[in-house]
Amino acid sequence: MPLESCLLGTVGLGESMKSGKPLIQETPSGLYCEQGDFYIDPWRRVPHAVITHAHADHARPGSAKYLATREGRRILRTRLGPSADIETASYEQTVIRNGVSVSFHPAGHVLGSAQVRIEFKGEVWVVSGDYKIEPDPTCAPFEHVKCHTFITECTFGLPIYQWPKQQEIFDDINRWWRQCRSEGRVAVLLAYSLGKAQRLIAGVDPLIGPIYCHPSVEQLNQDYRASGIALPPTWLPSQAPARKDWSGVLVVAPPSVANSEWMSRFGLASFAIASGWMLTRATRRSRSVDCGFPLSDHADWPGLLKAIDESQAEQILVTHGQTGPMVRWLTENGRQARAVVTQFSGEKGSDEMDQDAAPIQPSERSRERETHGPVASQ
Amino acid sequence: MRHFARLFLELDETTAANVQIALLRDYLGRVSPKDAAWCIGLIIGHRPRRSALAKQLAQWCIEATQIPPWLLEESRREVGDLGETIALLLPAATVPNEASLSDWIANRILPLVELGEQDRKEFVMACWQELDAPQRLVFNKLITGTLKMRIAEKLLATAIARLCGLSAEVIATRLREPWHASEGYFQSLIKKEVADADNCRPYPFCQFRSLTSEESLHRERGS
Repeated sequence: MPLESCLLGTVGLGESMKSGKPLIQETPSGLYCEQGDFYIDPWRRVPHAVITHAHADHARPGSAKYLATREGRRILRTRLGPSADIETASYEQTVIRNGVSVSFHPAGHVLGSAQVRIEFKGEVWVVSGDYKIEPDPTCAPFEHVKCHTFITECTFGLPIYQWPKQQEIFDDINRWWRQCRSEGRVAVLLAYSLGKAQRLIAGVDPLIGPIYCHPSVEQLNQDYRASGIALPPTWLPSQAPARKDWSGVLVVAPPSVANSEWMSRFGLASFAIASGWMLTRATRRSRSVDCGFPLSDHADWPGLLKAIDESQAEQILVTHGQTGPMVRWLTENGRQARAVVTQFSGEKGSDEMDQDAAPIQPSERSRERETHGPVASQ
Repeated sequence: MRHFARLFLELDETTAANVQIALLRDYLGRVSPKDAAWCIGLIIGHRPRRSALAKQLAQWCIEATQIPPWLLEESRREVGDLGETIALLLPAATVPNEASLSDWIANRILPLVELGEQDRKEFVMACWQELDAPQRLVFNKLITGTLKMRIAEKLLATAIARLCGLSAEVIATRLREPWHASEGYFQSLIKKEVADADNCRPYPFCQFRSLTSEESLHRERGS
């Protein structure tokens, strides 16, 4: 056990069925497998880190060694820098760490995202990382993995979160883009640079007009293409001729640049944001954008329940997001479940964090305006 | 009702007057005069009589979705609005109904008041199966009498004026005439011929202030 765990106290996440000792423990540095001596998505610097995916709240720099998926190695390299010591393994390939078998299984979240399956003396735990069930042309589809204990994310853990059909959302985005073109505006689509941006670029109709990207998005587009993911052509605004007419162009950029100097070159613009939080009116109103598209790279409520069911796990550990209602729901339905506190929920407003993982809180005013209880509204 | 639900949400999500005017002008120009009349009626406060209580709607939603009451309450807390929460919780429409706003109001929503509670419940649950989430939100707000458009009459007058090419002042004056949910109402609102009556009234948004007492006169003067 690491020294800090002895000093600060380590919380076992659940009783092991066979050895009596949990396979993964909650420590101040993150989820720790003592038997294999490695951490999964640690939030402090550790000797051995196993990484589910390259989003900044899961892949933090500073650890001595990393183990990640081969499919996501380019984007992880971009995120962690050239000096990071990254070992990779393909999906399904088993890596042995001190007698513990570790393997990656597609999580369907972003390119190279994985669930981490850990097996020791016949007992299997799976850490989901972030995941979604619905198909995404820019990454491998989610794979259901059977296990004894399933540690699942729960970002959208309420039944109000049921995603509309993906094609309907893309139809809406295309309609908005065409409308911008007919009005002589530039269509600015704000989305997280890694994953969401590429899913949008792959899903929109490129015949409507040219697609330009913020440098942070374009760099990852190149990583995606180099990893074998087909994306329509995209350009940097700096490659455009001087005094270019930007009307009808689609610009994909991270939300942080919405009010920046970088945006001023485009002239008359319509702003839209793509995020699962856009499903409710209060959050759409709280963002000063013209359109909100509820496209998420996280599982919705039915998706979470399906993943939990298919895992056939005896014990469900729920982390980040709406953990309280999910744990109560599972418990009332005869499952053994409890919440686990992690630091995966992201820092609100930071571009480096997953846009979906950072809930956009409706302003107090707008919430107050709409809040009336079942009886109060009479 | 699909077009109206989209308009309601788009109006709700912008505070830019020009955008709201453009949205209203486009909607009123696209739909039937009867739908336009109902839209204007809803903006100026002619809501259908309430036919269901919010707590009844919550109960029926629990029956339709089989979720426990505490989970409905958790969801409502997240969304901040019960009508919207129910609209999001219900499963996708099984028998989509493309009837217009005026048809929905005349044939489904207004007759609800006459029904007994059990029939009303079955009727509402059947309606939910015909509507997508945005339309269910509007439907829930219409039957609970809580639909608020939050559009100033002056802005509405400007939108109609841009549609028919008359001045906003003339339209504002016409909007003061009694409202009817009829084709004729909207047509008389946008008719090209400007009668003397359209011009001879005081501008309706500049109300006369009446001084009722000596005291209020002094207060006005700051003495």
